[in-house]
Amino acid sequence: MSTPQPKDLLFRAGGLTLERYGVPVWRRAPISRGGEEWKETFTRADGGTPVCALLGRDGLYHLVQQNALRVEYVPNVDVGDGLGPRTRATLLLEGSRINRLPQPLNFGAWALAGGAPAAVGGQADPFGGTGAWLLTDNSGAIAQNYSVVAAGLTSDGTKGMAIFLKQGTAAVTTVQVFDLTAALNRIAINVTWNGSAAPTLTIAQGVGQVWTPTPVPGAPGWWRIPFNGQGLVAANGNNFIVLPAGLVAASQGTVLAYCAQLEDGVFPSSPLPTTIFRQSDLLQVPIGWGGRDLTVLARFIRPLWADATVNLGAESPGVFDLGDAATNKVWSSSSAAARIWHWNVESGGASADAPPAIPAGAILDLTVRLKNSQTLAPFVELELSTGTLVGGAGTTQALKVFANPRMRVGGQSNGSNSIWANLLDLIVADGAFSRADMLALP
Amino acid sequence: MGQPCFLVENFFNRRMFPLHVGTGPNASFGDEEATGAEAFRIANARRWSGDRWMPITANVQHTLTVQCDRVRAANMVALDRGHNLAGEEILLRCSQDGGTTWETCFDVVLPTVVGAGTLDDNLGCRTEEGAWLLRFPSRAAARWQLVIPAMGVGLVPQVVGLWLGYAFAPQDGLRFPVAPDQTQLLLEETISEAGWRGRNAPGLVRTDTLNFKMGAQGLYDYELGRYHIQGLFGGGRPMWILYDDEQAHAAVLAIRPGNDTLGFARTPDWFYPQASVPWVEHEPLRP
Repeated sequence: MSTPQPKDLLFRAGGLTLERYGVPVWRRAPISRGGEEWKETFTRADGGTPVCALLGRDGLYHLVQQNALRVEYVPNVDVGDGLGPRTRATLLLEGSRINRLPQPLNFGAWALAGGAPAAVGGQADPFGGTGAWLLTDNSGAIAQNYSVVAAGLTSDGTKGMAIFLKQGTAAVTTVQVFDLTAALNRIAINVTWNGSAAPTLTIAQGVGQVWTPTPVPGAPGWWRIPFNGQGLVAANGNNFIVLPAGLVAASQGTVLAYCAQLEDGVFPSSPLPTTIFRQSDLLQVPIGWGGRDLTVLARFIRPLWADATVNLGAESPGVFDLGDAATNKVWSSSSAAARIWHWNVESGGASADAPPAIPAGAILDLTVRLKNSQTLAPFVELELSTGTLVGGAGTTQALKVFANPRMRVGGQSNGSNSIWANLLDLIVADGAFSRADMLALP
Repeated sequence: MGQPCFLVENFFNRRMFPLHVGTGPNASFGDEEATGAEAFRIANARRWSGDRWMPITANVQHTLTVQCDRVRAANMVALDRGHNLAGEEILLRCSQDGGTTWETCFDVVLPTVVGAGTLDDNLGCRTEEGAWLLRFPSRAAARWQLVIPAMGVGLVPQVVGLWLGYAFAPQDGLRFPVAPDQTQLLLEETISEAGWRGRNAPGLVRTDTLNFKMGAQGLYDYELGRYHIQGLFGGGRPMWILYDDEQAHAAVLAIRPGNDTLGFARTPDWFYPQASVPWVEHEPLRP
């Protein structure tokens, strides 16, 4: 097959498209007078979630509007084009959940216990604003605290949580979820402050997980504290509590806090001023495919995480499944040591290789070739889960090709199998092309 | 020797981007606008100092803001001649949260004198006719804002023309011949029997033809050329032309001449698209 020409490209999308064409999705189409004929549709089930955050070109986090396609600049990305590591524009694919904590940004509205002084707002926050709050425990006799009751949990089980904290005068700060009905702590984590080094997280009570705190770029001292608690009961009152000076009654001190969250799901998601814990948004584009061979090149920066399998703190390998054995055949893949992974899938035939795990920091480079004999929609779904991918109507695809008229990138936010992905490049060509040809496209 | 660069996109041009809106009163781009000096004038390319945007309140910060219909990347800005911002500070910033928080793209004090400079200079470049151009590392956002801090007692900013968009820099450059400073003297004259010439006031207009000849990656550059050159410039919209981005002071604002033919073509002697694109200076200064 010859080198793909512009006429062969049904559309392209991603950060590289943005840097080349000035728009996140480019599709071959006549230029109408005075404007553009077509653009992508993008949906994001933000619900009540106020904002999410992403990394700007300046290396700092910036807040993002609801229901907006977001552009994140990822530093030190080497896409193998000979230019070396550079900051690259990407499309942040992240789903959304609803933060079940009322007033997640307004600690002044939280309940006070033990005679805690009122939270003091107007503090410098991790995003360059003044939205943070100073929380104080000034009693040597009782562990004073600030709390808010979660509302609207949809199910029992493990709930992802996070909060931004900055060391004040307290040596240890505790964050916990107390079940008001069962009268017990579902989870309580101690945040032991270590000066300029990352704080140490330990589970003091209850059952759950903690992950490595994430520093906030450009906001020295601010850390995002991610954790979860198991066994929460939706019907009970779940009180999210911050104890500035920890559980020890005699301890006193302060801590700065910003943006608490508690969500349905194993890992905390939006609002998301961090680099991890992402679900899939849904970018949808019509492709106008003519029914011939179809080649898809997709490159994501960093692994696509599966909510149920990923080890978040260590960014250990996730699993990426490509189709079921009967529908989509994996016909080559690179070694685990490669930084750039090339995966090729061809419709029809049995799967030749078991999809390997993707190392942390890898770039996923995926080429899918669909033969015209494949006429059922959807043709291909790439799903992140511990199970296999089926060619049917799934709901958690990372990438999905319908016969006509559209292609989906991202997934539907149903709260499961969330992914974290930065879409670098996605090219769909009308015809069968080699991976090398696709990668050579400017 | 640098590379050529062309800017024709303008997010503030609502004929080019009909779904773009301002965020000021009555969907104006400006936070304020005086009667007769409305903010829409920044994108009409009239190039007359009387046709400009001016806010009302002196000595306070003013802004020009556009909300795009989608996320768009920009890497170049141009202020047309006639502005009063030389020596003043301006900022360009973008927002992905509808203007609640902003990311600063650049924060510069505009040069007051013309100097040989590159388009990528930190301070941008003042052209020979008083315009100011700057190419910056591309950013992407749905909302863009030019910020003009307070200028001093009794002073309000005046912006005659403002371009913000994504510049086109063809990988294969331009082919010879190039004549960036070629001019045409426009006048009517009568020659007497004695050989004396009677002329009207002349017009001096820069004019040339851009010769695009795509190379190995030409088919893909053609996509961009088709959009920027054939679609937008070919549609009659003014375009900033820089033959050499290292000599940005010689930039010219050009339009497509009337009644010409323009289009990329593939000829028997060259596989990739090529085009000869004539241009004439738009609203030149009197010689």
